[in-house]
Amino acid sequence: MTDIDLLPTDIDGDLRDNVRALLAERAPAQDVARVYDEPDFDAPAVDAGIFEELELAGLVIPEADGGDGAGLSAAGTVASELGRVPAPSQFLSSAVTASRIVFRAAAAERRTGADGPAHKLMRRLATDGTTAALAMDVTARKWTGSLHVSANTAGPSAADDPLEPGRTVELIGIVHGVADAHRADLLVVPARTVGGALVIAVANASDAHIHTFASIDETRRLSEVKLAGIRARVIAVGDGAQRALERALLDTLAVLACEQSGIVDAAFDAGLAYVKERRQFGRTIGSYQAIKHRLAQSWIVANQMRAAATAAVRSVDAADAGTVSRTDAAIAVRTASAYAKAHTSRIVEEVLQFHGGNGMTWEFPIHLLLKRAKLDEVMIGGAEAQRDALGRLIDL
Amino acid sequence: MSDRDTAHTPGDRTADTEAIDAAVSAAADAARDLTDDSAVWGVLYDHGLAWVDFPRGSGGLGVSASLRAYAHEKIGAAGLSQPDPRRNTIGFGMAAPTIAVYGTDEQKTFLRDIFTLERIFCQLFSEPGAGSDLAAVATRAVRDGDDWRVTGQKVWTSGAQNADIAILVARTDVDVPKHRGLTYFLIDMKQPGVETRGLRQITGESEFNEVFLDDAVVPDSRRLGDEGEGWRVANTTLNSERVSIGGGAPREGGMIGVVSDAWRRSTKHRNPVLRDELIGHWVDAEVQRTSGILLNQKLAAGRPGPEGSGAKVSFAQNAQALSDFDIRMRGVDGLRYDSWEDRRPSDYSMTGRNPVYRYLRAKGNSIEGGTTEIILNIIAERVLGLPGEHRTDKDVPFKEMPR
Repeated sequence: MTDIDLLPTDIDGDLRDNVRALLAERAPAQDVARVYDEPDFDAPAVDAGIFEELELAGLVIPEADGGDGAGLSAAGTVASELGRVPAPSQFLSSAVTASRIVFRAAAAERRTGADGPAHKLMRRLATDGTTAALAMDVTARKWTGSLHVSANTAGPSAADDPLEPGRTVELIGIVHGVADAHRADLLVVPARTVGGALVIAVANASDAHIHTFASIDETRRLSEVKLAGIRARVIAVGDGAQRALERALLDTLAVLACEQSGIVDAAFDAGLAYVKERRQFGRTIGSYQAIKHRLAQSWIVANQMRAAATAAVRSVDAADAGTVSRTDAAIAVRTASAYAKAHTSRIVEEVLQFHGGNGMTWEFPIHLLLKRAKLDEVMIGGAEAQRDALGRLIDL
Repeated sequence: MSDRDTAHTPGDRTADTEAIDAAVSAAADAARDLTDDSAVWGVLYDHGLAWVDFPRGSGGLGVSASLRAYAHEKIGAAGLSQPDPRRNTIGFGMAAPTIAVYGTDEQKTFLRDIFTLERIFCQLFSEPGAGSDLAAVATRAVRDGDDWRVTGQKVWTSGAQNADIAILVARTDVDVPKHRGLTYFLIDMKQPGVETRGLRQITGESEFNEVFLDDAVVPDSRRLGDEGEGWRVANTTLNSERVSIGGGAPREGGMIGVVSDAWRRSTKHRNPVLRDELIGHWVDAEVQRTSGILLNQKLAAGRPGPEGSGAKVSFAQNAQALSDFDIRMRGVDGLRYDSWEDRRPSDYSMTGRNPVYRYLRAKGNSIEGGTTEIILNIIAERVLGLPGEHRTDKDVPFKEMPR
């Protein structure tokens, strides 16, 4: 096993600078905080910039399908910048999670030689501004099965097996806690047939009942999604569907680790700047060893998290290119995720404490990072879920 | 980061590996008829293959330090014997890098002897009253013609009983503030004025020593660096120590491999809570290792970062947490000890013996080579730019300092 190259590339650097410059202009802290007070406001200028001006919708989609083919590593760079704000963007839910499910489903199509519905959908996501959300509980580490196929429109009876990609089905059920469903054009729906097989089907979000509820991080809103017999197009079935979903969740965890690393870096930078300014007892509070040592420890963790998150996204790209085994890539992702989930909130909490009373105020933007950090910690399973999955990979 | 790393501008990696390949091939030719290991090691040194990042003529080829592993592999592949650095830990890890930077031509001849294990080194830095505050050393060196006479007490000296030469920091001027009155020497250990006594530790054994110097002699030609420059020279040594302690390893190398293997071998004491904790330690070890890979890649690319100073802190924290877990996961077997007998090991392994030994020995990891607290201060002040600690001793002549 050769070591993955972890050094920052020039392309990463350019991407980072472009996204950072855009967010500095479009997502100042006061605009981000506005999403908490105005449930109908999603700072649309942010995603107009990310998706339309910087054209980052197709980052993880192959060039042949209208995307950039830049891979998960580039998505990690973007996510890290979005995490620093934290920006109210559909990038993770649509351009990473949903796009990766469709990408993985398309890989199954490719094996059968067909240019089927997944390929067509990939092109839409990459090129025409369409966004999608995964209709799954955002905290679930795997599919939990509350959505069902009620009717297979091509079959004589309801929900008969087997289903083929391209078929139209009807979906019923309710799922709680779907990220960014309220502003997605499409829902990517994992659903169980009566026969017990998993299918992934794509529906128009406007056909679903979507109720957005107030939750910890309004920059990534959560909704209840109710499907009352809405029509959807199947893009993957059975093992192919299972694999597409599992891999896309793993891909998301890798990019999420980059986002978490961005949160930690931003919190750390804010904390360091604050303790150099704030004076008590006639000295800056950053001159007290009680503060210095905690900042130094946070700096060590921030560096390690960055290295692990980079290893995660690059290992997945290497696995897709066939140069690293799927198992090694999964180990890198679970490791980075378990580490990020164990430390991100904790470090933001440290920085909040450094801010004293100011840390508790709406005015100081640390709370925005804290809320995102806590959401990220439980997305797709907490640290213990990642450790459990990792243990299976490394025979522990 | 040592001075060597930051000053070094590595050339093209291909040119560097070619230089190594050529040196290995030439050394293999030169060593063809040699049967004595020590003679082979001398040939390696003469071909710049001792420490490839050292300058040419000092046992190196002037290439990036990250190519040490590459060179090690190539030399092994050529069928040439290589010395075990653990048989001369201080020589390899501390004395050699410092001599390479500050040594006179005559002193640089020691480099070859260090590599061939003909001269074993130990370190006379810490004292009962000068631990983290190393600049407070009170051991005096007084000029006596072409010699210096050294008197004082040193402590935490591993391998002193087997050493030929020590790197020594002693006070040569008490009239100036403490950092300015120190001088660095290479002193012979085998002389009447040097007495070594084992210092028994919590493991039962005497891995370290106390060394009593009573009018011991060191010629002025064995002074490393200028008079009064001892603090700066010693910092080169200490930075090398931190780099060598925090180095990289394969996945599950080190303590995590020992504990993971033990877990896999026995199902006796498994439970889900312990399993979760163990995997958490595995994650910490793997993340630490991944950071080490990034650090090495940065060094190889000529972009050294300050992250290395954090590696030793993580290493110590992980080793202590894991060795603690190791005891708890094994039931009674975790409590067994081989022997409390006072022994004098010539080397030691952090992963050796048994869980109790490893647990006890790991307590030293956050102390030796710079305490965790001192390293956190260094990170806070030099990397993060936070203000230094309030100091009362910086401008006071050493002799007026309250001690």
